[in-house]
Amino acid sequence: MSSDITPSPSASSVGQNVPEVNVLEVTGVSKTFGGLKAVQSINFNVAKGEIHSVIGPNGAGKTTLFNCLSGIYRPDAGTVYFNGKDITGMPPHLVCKAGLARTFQNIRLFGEMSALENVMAGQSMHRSFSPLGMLFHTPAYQREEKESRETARELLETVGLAHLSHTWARNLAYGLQRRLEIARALATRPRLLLLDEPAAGMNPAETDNMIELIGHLRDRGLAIILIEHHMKLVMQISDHIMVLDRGARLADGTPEQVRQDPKVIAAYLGREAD
Amino acid sequence: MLESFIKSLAGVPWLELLITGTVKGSMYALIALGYTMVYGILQMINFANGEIFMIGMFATVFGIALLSSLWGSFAAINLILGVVFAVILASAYGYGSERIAYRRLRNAHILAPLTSAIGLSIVLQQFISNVVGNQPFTFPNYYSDPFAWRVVTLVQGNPATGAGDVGISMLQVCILTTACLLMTALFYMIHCTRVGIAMRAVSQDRLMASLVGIPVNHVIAFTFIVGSSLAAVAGTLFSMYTTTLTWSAGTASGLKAFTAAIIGGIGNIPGAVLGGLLIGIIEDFTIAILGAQWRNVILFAILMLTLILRPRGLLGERVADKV
Amino acid sequence: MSTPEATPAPAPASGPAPGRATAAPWWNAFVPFLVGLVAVLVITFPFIWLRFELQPSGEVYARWDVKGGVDFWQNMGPVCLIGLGIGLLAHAYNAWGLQRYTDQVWLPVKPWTQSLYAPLVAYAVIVAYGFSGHMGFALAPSPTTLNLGIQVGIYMILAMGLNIVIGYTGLLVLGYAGFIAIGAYTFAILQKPDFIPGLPWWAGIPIVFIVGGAVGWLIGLPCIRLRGDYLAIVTLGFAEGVRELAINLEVTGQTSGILLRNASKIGLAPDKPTILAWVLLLVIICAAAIYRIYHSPLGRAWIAIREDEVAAGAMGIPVVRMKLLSFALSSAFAGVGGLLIAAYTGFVSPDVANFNNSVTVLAMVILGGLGSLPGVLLGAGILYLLPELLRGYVDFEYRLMIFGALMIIMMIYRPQGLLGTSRHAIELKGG
Ligand SMILES: Nc1ncnc2c1ncn2[C@@H]1O[C@H](COP(=O)(O)OP(=O)(O)OP(=O)(O)O)[C@@H](O)[C@H]1O
Ligand SMILES: [Mg+2]
Repeated sequence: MSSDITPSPSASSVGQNVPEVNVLEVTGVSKTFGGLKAVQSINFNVAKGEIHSVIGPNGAGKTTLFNCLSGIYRPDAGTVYFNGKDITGMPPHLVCKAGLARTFQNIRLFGEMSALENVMAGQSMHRSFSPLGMLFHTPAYQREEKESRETARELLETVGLAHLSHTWARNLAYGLQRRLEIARALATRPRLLLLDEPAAGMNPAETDNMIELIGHLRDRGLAIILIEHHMKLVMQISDHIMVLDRGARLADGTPEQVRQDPKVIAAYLGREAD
Repeated sequence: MLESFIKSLAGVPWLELLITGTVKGSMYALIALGYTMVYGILQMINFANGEIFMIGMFATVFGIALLSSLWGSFAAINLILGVVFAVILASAYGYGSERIAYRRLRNAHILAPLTSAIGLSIVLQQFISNVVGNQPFTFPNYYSDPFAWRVVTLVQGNPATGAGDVGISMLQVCILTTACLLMTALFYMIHCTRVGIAMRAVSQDRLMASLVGIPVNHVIAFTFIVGSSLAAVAGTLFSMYTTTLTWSAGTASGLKAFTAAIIGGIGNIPGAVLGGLLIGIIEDFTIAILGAQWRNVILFAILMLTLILRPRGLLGERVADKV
Repeated sequence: MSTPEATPAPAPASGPAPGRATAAPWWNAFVPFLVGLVAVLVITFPFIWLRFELQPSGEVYARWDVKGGVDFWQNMGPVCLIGLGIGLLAHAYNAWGLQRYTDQVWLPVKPWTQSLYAPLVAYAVIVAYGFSGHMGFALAPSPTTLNLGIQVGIYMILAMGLNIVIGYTGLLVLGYAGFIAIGAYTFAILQKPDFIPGLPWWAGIPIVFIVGGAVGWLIGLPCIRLRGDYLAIVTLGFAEGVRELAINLEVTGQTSGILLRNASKIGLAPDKPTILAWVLLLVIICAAAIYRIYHSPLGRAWIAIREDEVAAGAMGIPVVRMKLLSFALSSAFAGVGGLLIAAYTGFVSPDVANFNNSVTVLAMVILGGLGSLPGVLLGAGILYLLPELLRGYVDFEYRLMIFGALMIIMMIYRPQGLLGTSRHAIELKGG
């Protein structure tokens, strides 16, 4: 069932043998900007097929944590193991190649490419760049191009954008752009997806759609780390929630545990609550 | 080959080169300040700054010529007013260039203001070359000769002929003093005046600065004016020192000053000064050791080395792009 | 003298005159232009209308130069008209919503037969026209026209090459002439008797392509990671360095350059139509190759980098390697262009690496449209023909000044170029 997203046979077989295997193991990751400790020695693990949410007030360091995981920032300390492989401080494209894809909080699509081409650009990693193929359109090249186009179409269908596949990304509505970012990330065939506020600025109906989409992705065997301020969404679909505040981990646990944690309530509602 | 090279090293008049290099470098530093200030505030390279320097050169001579025709050749007054004329004119060009070529492109893709800046520098350079003339002119030595006398003699050469003497001329003293004064004034302005605070605020966050009531457009225009004025003064000094004015001096010196700004760390004001001095000294040593025809090759090699080894420059800080 | 209209209404009973306080007079929109015009006239005044005269005594005096001033403004007249025209066109484009038709949809790739059909027909027609002189056709092109056609063709190849790196990948290269010179000199040195004697020009193409690409790759290696504006400067410095090397080195013939042997020139007999046919064939081959690369995964990766480098990296595109590739490919095409220049003129001098040459090619790319292949070809055509068209109205020396002004005007009014997509324009408005 998960074959279309996680094609690597070794990974899925490992998953079957040891159900509790961790896709991602983060130990002691820290990042400072000047004097600002944006992320302070964070530890957590993400299991296969799990939705792991990261919440916290604005400026808590959630996005910075994502940037450290996906190779955009090099963490000052700590290690990130992905599928048993050390990916700490690797450049973003190698992290992505290892199977970790992400979306961005402030949408970063390729504005002047069509939706379809955005997704196809996400497939670059899996394409062969043979000069002969490109120049002379060899049968192999044509087949590959056709397959890639079809896969991209399917992904657009998955996120509900098939009818807009030739529209420029920057001309899409805001909610659709967020979906397109997810489709583009899926095109890299990840095993772990990092979603940075996928429901930000969405109306209730769109949020429900997004919940459905994320649930669908999890059902396809993808592990997901989710940053979100939308509590209904987080509480509804997370398996595990980590709360950050001022760069440090404040609380950790199932949605129920986190909901009742007084420290979390204090962090969200203000200091005077404790 | 190597031996002869080492031999030529031994004969290098290093003290003299150090002096001339510092003098030249202080003028490069003045131009580099214009690059670095604009970069600090707009994160763009004001390519045309080198051409403003060149315009400053010509404007001085035009100013002096006008005044001489008006009331006669009074060396000191005409020279000082000529510099003032050059500063005013260069400021007008600087302000105009910001207004015409950059202001509307502030939020555009990085290629747009850069292309526009290149276009502008071509226009200015070709304007002078077409209108004033494309052959080199000499600086009127009636105005530079009074500075030619030697203030101190550091090394006594042949007493009969004066060959091998190393000293500091009045002109060199004047150049160094002017440069030091201007740099001190600039430091004071940036750190201790309201407009300096406004400039630093705008360079940190343009939008926020405008929200707390800083007139961002005026501050940016003012930055251009200050940068252009410094370049104009450098132009006057440079044309007196080298005794020539050409339409292509802007590109040549501009490239060196820009390299200086990068070496010091672009956006960093002490860095520009340090870079300018370094470039000036290295250039003079290159000319003495390898020959004048190699100086741009060496300059380029230094630029490349800096960018490879320390892309943020000697004094620059590393900044992470916010994602 | 006071006019009755200007006096304010005296009694409150009559009420304020409707609109008088708020409506701006019609000429308000022109005030900034007038102010700008006056300012330009004032600050250019001394340079244009005055001459300084150095006396033997070292003094300097100014004198009026009315003729020079009049001359200058006569030259500027057509240029201002062109600028005004482009401004008006850009205004019309935005005001009348013409962009509706161009930037909504990114169409999928057309079948390749369709994309090659039109160029081949055009090629056949042009070449037939070029040769028509041999058959005694009365309206056949003159040698000057043919020469112009050949030059335009060479510059089209150069512009297409530069477009790869500027238009597709979004890196500004200011020292393109340096790479052109590398190509020209490599060819000229190789055909000297002590290397490969009498290297025919067509056999030099693959060599020059590879050497050009390798040099581009080497230069790009350390500096491709830099911010875009640093890269621009580094390449500018590189071109200067190449020029100086060419002047200094023995092997490049120093200031006098290298004269090509006859065997290495294009067309042994000075038969211009044949040369035109060859050059245009190369244009078509280059255009087809670049078109295909543009529509391949490689092209998509380049555009993705241009659109958002960080996102491209996070989507698994090796940003540095892709940028290097585009840089190297672009300099390889520069090498081919350089070879053609050398083989056509039969002579290489350090002037090939002049900044002017870089600017010319850059202006072609910008005018035609960053990232648009037809746009770039059009740009090359226009910029090469523009000085010819203006001949008689504008001195040839003003050519570069016009190019510079065009760059500013295009950036302000139409950053995407004549035929380009409107990426930059949107960023302008969107902030
Ligand atoms: N490149 C950077 N340079 C300097 N400071 C940074 C940088 N990136 C992030 N910060 C700072 O780090 C802190 C954490 O930022 P981060 O974007 O990770 O917060 P967040 O939890 O994602 O907040 P939000 O919910 O608003 O998205 C903030 O104070 C931010 O200003
Ligand atoms: Mg965030």
